[in-house]
Amino acid sequence: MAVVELRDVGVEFKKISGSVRSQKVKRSLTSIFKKRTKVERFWALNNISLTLYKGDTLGIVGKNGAGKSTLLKVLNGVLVPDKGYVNVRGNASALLNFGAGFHPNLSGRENIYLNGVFFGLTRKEVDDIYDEIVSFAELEDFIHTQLRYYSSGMRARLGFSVAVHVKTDILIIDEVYGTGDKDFRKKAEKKMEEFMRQAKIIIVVSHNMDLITNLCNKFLWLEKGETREFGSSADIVYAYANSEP
Amino acid sequence: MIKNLSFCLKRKDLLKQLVISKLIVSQKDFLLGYLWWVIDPLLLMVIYWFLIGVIFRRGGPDYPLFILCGLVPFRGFSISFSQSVASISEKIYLISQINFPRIFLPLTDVLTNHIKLLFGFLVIFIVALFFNVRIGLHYFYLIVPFISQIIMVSGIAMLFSVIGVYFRDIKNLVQFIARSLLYLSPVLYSIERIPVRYRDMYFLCNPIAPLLESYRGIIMYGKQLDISLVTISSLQTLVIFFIGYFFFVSNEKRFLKYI
Repeated sequence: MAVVELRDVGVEFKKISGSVRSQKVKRSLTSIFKKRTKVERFWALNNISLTLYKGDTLGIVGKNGAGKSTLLKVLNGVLVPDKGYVNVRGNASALLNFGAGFHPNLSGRENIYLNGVFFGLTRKEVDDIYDEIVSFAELEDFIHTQLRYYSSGMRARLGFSVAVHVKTDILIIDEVYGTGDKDFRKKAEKKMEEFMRQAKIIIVVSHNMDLITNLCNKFLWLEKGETREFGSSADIVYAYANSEP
Repeated sequence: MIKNLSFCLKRKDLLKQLVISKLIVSQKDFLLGYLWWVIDPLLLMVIYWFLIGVIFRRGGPDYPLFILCGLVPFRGFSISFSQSVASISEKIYLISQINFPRIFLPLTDVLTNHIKLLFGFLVIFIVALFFNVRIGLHYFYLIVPFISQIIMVSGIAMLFSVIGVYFRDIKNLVQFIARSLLYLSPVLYSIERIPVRYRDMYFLCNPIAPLLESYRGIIMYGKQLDISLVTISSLQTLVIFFIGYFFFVSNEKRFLKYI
């Protein structure tokens, strides 16, 4: 059974040069006298179709601006596509940015709860994993301190720890492994592998070709918002790597 | 629509946690913390009593309580209203990364402010004791205008939170409207000042007015609920709420891309 299914998905963006607001005012003023000025539209994603089954790991490659982040946002539910069909069974958790929902004036403890429910847990479910999160992040002594007194490493550790303790069906990773010091990174990688094993589907965006070929069984090469190639052969990644100037 | 509702219901813990977080944050940096929720209405009461009771020699002996009954609920409304324009536009970093019911953002602001409002009511009750007002079981009627206010303000907040995404400068306009409404609503003066033949019109145009009248009638004059007031204001509340809700839901997809 397909867990993730995309059919002919397209996301259209408007391209307005100059400041958005001034354009808007100008447009509404000039529209009294003449026809509305045209706004340039373009498809950030177009005709994307893919199906993923349980156990699949999808690696997405492509140049900057190819639509990788837009595609992740569609999978994550942050963006609703303008055309096509999206069906994502289960809850998708994105590791786009650890601790996106953190608030500097809240304590570590309060932030764990806030972040946990943002990921779709209930408060009770956060209760159950709370101790694990704290001990994994090694923040027992600072858990009642406001987050703004944390170092950036501590904050990253906490964010990572919450993210990997939330059990999700679909895991979306955008360029990870940049957290904390050397020891913590090692621990993080190990935990990540464990986390990946229990997720039904993993979707990875990375510029690290080795990581992608090692990890994934399906590959998607995006170019200018469209599928250049999609399939289960790692040759796609090599072709992409060689295409780069 | 149904999908949207069930998504909200599934994630209701998030709303709870957002409200708790906001309440914690809003007092954490202050020396007096939660006490401000009590001090704030008292200070305002003193200022307006000084202006109107002492300088203009109007109002009568129980004027401080009179102001408080109008001012406290009105502040709950006006603060929520002014904050709503920013409730989405200032949370872009969240919306662009996490999928959650975006409608919770304006609702969080409204609920937080109305929880603080409860402390304001506590102040009213204490001041009422000083003015020898009969406090009794009829005070439970206050729940009706209070719930009505929350629902109505939610509708307004949903509407303006979306508008605030498209036009950032609406903030200035909203602050002006909120300030003007203070003088256009029966906060500092009694509804008796409005000629009888315009009164229905007045209640119809200013949805806060019937609510403020209900609060004041119950607290100060020991009245029961006025059925006609309740009817007007529940109709207004429902209309405003559904306008806000439909506007939000139908624009959600669009503003996600806009931000």
